[in-house]
Amino acid sequence: MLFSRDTAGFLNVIEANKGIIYKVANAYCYDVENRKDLIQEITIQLWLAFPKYDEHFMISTWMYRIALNVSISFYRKQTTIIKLSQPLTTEILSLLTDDSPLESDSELSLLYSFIRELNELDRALILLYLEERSQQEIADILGITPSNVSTKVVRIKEKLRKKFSTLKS
Amino acid sequence: MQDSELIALWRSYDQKLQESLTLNRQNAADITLIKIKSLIGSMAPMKIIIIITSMLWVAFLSVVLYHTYTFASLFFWYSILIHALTVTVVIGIYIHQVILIYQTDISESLFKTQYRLASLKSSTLLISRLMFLHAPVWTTFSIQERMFENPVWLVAQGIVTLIFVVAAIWLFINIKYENHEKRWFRFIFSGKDWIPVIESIKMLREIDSFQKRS
Repeated sequence: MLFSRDTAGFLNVIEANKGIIYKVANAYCYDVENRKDLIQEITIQLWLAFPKYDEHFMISTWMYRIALNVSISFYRKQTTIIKLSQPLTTEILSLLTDDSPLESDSELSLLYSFIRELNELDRALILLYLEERSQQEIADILGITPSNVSTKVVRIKEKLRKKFSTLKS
Repeated sequence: MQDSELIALWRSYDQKLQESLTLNRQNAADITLIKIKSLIGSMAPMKIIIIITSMLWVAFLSVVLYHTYTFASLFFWYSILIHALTVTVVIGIYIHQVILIYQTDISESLFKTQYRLASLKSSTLLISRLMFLHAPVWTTFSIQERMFENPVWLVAQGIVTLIFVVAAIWLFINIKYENHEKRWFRFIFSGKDWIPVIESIKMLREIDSFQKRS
């Protein structure tokens, strides 16, 4: 099938940044089926926003903003968003192996479960920190100052460390 | 677990994902070919219908008030006036919601977008509080002056209206997030439509608290 120029460009952006969509969806949606819907919803909203992409921001900043905004809204109102989207049940992102990396690594699985225990905003912040985004980019994505980012990251990391140490002791 | 270990763990996850995560280009392309609604914009049509219907209703009530001013019972006239004013305030809230909908851009920063969306959703609770507050007018609009000649009726009417007034004021004051776990609150606001409203108020508080703590 031939894609239009815009579609091809969009697919290339998604291809290059598919990990962002997957990791954000995974942090906000535990259920596998709902996660497929969330990934579909994020892709739809990215496509709708694609013509208005502001080149002043990095493509990753733009993608994180949309993926996080959709995921948090989805988390808050799952049924309605599913109803709003098209009744497609196609899988957009899939893993080649049967076991997801989370299932094969217990420490990673624990880290993800601790992240999911955080509130939606803290979850977004720590996700971006783990993704090694700069303080400035995190500030741009969240809409807070870089100094706020650093203060909050320290507190959230402390929470995570305590959870790990409680578990090990 | 140290910072470096956390980062290393996440890097290894990222590496594994890079190796196994695949994009189904055909399925993603299918999305670009169908007619799809924006997440936010799809909320607007129903609100616009409510605004238009309510404006027509207020216009009708205004005509009634204008033409009955000289001869209608004071109870009828002022009850309808209070109802019309309340509906006008509610229309104002709906207009504010529609403005918020059109101002919201999902590609803007997380806090800005979530604050707008949460404000939009949580204002629905204010509409409910206003509706409860003006409920007593439904017990007063049909009162006629000649009914005062019957003391039994007068006492019964007085009790009913008083109960409505007390309940309306109590509900107006107490319908708030702090009470969302209470049984009476959950009874009134049961159902999946209200969960996002309560969650939105929680989100507004989290945003405030996030900004204050930082």
